[in-house]
Amino acid sequence: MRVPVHVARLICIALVAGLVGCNRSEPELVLGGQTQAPIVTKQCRNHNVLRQPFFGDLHVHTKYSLDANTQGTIVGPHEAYQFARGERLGIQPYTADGVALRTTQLARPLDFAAVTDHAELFGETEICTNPDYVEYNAPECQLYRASPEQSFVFFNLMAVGLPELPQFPVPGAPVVSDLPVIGDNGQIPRLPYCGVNGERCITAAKTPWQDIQRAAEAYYDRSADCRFTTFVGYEYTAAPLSNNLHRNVIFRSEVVPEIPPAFQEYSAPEYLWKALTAQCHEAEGCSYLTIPHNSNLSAGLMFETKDKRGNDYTTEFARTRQENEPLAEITQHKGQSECLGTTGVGAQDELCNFEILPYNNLTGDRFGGLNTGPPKEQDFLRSALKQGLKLEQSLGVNPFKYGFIGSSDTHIGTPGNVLENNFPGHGGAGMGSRDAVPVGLSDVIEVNPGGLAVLWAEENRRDSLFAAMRRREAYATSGTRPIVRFFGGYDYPADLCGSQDFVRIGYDHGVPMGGDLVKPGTPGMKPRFAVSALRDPGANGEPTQPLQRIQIIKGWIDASGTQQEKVYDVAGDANNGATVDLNTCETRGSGFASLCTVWEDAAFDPSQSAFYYARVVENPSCRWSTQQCVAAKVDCSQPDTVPEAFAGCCDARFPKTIQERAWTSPIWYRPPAS
Amino acid sequence: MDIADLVPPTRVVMQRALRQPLLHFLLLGGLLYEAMPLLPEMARPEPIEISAPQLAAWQTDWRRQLGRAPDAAEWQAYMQQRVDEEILLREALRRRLDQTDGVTRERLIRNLRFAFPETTDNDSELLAQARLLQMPVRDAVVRRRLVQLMEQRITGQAELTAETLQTYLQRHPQRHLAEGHVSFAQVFFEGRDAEARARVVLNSLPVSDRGAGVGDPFLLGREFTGLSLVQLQQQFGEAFARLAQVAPLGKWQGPVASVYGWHLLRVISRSAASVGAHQQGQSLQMSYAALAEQEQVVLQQALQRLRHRYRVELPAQGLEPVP
Repeated sequence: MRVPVHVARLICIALVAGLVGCNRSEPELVLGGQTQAPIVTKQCRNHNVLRQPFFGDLHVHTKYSLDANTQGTIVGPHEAYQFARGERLGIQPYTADGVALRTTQLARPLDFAAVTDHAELFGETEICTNPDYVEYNAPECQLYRASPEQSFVFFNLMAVGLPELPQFPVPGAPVVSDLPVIGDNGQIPRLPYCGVNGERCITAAKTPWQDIQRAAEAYYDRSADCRFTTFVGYEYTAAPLSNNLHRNVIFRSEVVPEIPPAFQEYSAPEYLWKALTAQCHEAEGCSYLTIPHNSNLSAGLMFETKDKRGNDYTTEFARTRQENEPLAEITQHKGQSECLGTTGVGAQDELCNFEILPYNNLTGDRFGGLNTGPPKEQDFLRSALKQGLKLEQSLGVNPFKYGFIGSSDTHIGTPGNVLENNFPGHGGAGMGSRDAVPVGLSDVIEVNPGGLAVLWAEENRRDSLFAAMRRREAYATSGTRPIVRFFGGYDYPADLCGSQDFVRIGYDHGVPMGGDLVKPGTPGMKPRFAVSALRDPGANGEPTQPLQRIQIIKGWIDASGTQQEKVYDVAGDANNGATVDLNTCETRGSGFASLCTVWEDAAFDPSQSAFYYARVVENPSCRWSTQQCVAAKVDCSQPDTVPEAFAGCCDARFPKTIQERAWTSPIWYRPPAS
Repeated sequence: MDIADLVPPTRVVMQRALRQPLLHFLLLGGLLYEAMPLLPEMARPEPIEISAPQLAAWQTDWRRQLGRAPDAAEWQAYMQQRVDEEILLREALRRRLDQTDGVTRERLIRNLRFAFPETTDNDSELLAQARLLQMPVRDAVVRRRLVQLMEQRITGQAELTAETLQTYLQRHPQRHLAEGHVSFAQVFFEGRDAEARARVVLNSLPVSDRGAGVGDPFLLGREFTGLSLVQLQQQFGEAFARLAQVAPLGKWQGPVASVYGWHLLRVISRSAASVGAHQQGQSLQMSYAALAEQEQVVLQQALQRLRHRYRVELPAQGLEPVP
């Protein structure tokens, strides 16, 4: 009896998880007469066992984030990745032939990026869950409803290939006589997740999630050059009552769930992790992590100490959270989430006054301040890290063990476009060639261009970068590119900075940022932290400032159980006299091209939990808004002359200057169990 | 009987044949088939009316985004883009995508349940009401979704052929070029007398010496393998990158300045950009990128055709941008 095709397909899909092939003749990729798997894992040419810093952006919206931009942005994931790689990007408007009339370009390409559009608007899940939808009865949908976790169809490295590859010469084009292409019949190369037979993706309608995966594949440099790495990802958009619980989900490889678990079906982060765990199996090549952002806009929710049902955290819950979320976004377009600096014992840190949004949830200043309020200290990471130490004492596991990254949260598909001096606004339609007097600030006064994620990895490949994220060997910057190393141990020599082997000794005698201090080898030893930074060298005319100082921030739980924090200046000079001329934005005074020190925590008490992270601060410079106000010759001393669109220039709540900075992931200390 | 009598004259056959309804049907069908592509032009185009306030809003949008007024070409292109969006929206509505797409349905139904919490209407009734209220046109998210769905229907027809891939490769030779790269050692000097110290060391450094034990510590290390020109420029600056490109292999050179201080440089190996090497193992990458470009071509072609179905009606001063 002949088995109907759709039934056969269903069986195939169902069997995929068991690696049971449907034994169709599976074509193999043929390159130069040799049979190869299409995904070639290579070591990069500039592999470095001591690791190197890679700069990227893990929070990027494109046209698929419908709610984000209704102004006609048509930058998609492909163009976003081209832009991140340093290519010139055509932006609207376009002529009737589709030719862009304006262009924009990064002065310095990024090393990696992830497009993270809002999954809630992709519509994939709806296809399977809405009976009115024409594909509702498709076999994959039946399978999805019957057993969502089994519907995960993964890429079989050995079996997948590009079917029926013709060989053809490309006259005049670079190389290659044996270039494979999907055939004359116009078949589209299947996505990696299309399963052993791949038919489902070839026949499926084109969707945003498919396009996002294709783009991630298209611009991931799998050659030994390792120029650029992409990650398949999406944003899980939970925001009950506009209180932000958003997470970016980043996948390690091209093996990803068929349908990204979204807020409609999974209404709390714990449900999201459960769904991802069920659908993304390490054994099949799928792994993921989630990165919360804008805790500053969660109105007390992000670091609540109770779960979705209002119950206290359990050890299991704390472990799940820590395992799923090694990193948090400490800065981005919608403000920093490091510290508010207003409450708590010892919380006196004037540098917290940096890109703070004046409200506490996503409502912002709409509705005249209804449904929001002033920012809350508990929504900031420093507070959460202390709370995490406290919870660890009772639960045995720290649920808030976060390392730090920054990103842009661009909503116009321009990853890494985070400079103060050319900020087009994140909701705008692109960077204008401001060849006439601007008619207003390019964005609302309280936002900023966003930051970058920096990962210490052996090489610029997904596996290597993802491993760096997992072990939190990562730091955030407010948009500039200083290089920062941070190690913790007990026996670093005081003159380590004078050694050519700073990094090797850093690893051999301790742990890098993101790690855990082991207990002292000898009772009475105090931890030492070796921190070294190079200024942002700038490039292609980007103005950058030298370093001013390095600080180490310590948070701990004292003997009485009280949460404490202290900020130490450990290198550089807070009073180096560097200033900014607010009439011209010209910077004056000197700073440091590099700073390095070994700092010992003299107040260390081995019985108290603690964390330490470094903050590397640059000399002051004009904030983006000040640069635009100066260019427009706004004079706040004569309020009548200030146009409405420049009113933000004279808003005293926002500083005229900023100090760009980097935040390293913390190093934690946990006392041995008594 | 003459056999010839049995065979009707050709003229008679023709006359009979011309009276056959089947032939009429076929002929008419053929005519219609041939004329199909022309039909949209023959049919009375559907008007897209753009009001003066709408135009003013577009002008404001433009100025807000760019900080200046558009020139004539830009304004024309901007309006075309907005009109194209409207066309795609209307085509989506014509296909009732607002009633069948999950995201759109969910949004519309949620809107109405929010507005009328007491309603007892079912989903289908609510969707009908949403249409009556012109909600698919007015709700910004639904509008974008419908436009994109229509785009996806069109771009989903793009095919990847040898020709499209070839065109793609010719347009983007640099994208799949294997980069040139340099491997080198450097010795770093910082402080006021850095340059002078570097010169002294340079003069005393044996050619084959690896430079260990001299100079000052440098956070990024002493030896670098396989850096591209872009990476070199970004990390060490223009002067350093230039020297690394021309310095004779194996000999200490410099000193050369960077933002950090002064460096001596010894290039260990260097390779030029090599055309094509990058393409090995990149077939999937190239295919997707080429397909994405082809999708835009297909979309533009479809829009060219669809524009004939619509007639844009502008207020008097609509064609010229307001200064």
